Amino acid sequence: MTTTVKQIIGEHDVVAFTETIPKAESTGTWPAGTEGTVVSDFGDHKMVEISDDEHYGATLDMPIVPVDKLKLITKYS
Amino acid sequence: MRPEILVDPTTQLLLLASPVSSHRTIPRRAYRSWHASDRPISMSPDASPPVVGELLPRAANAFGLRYKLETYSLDVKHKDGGPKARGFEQILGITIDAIDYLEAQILARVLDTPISEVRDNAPWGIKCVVEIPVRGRGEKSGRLVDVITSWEIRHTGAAPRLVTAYPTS
Repeated sequence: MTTTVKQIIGEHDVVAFTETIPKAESTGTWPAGTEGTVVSDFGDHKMVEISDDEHYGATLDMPIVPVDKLKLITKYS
Repeated sequence: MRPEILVDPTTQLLLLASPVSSHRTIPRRAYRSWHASDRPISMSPDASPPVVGELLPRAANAFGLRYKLETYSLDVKHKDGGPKARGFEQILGITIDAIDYLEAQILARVLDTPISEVRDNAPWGIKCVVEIPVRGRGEKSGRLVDVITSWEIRHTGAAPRLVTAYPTS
């Protein structure tokens, strides 16, 4: 018997979208695989900051995404 | 014996008349906890969401700043916080060692810097952006650069919490 342990996604964890997500700050969508950081935790929804690494981490967008559409990439420790 | 309270119709001052100590005057405004003209620019009452140009509601109670700076915006090891941390260092000469300075600058200036952007995040509240001028440190002390700060207000009357901060390049 195998047991699956799902890690809880929390603030400052790096995550990736598992499907297309509508942009919050403009029209269009973010493709699946887009990575960002959880900057606010609403329980079953997370605010994810997508930032521009080439411009000192300037915010590109901050959509609020259901947790079931997020995959944990790096756990903040 | 309780003093008698009178209002001077010309000066609008309250007169407290006591049988023991003749009387003394107290400005009527002293009885108000807040007066509209005390504030440099307008501010929404707690019952309505803020708009661009107003001050951040309950800015004096802003929180989450230390945690956000320490574990994200000044953390050079964080994948997305790292570029922000390098920006703070290269643009303003501010590293994690100067977290007290950056925290104090933001907390002081958020009180009198107007909101530059508001986004409705219903049903999770609103997000406000405040561009706060911060002076550099050391070799960068001649620079005054805007730091973009984003604050969430989860419900009407709630204190703002910092969600991200980074310097403009």
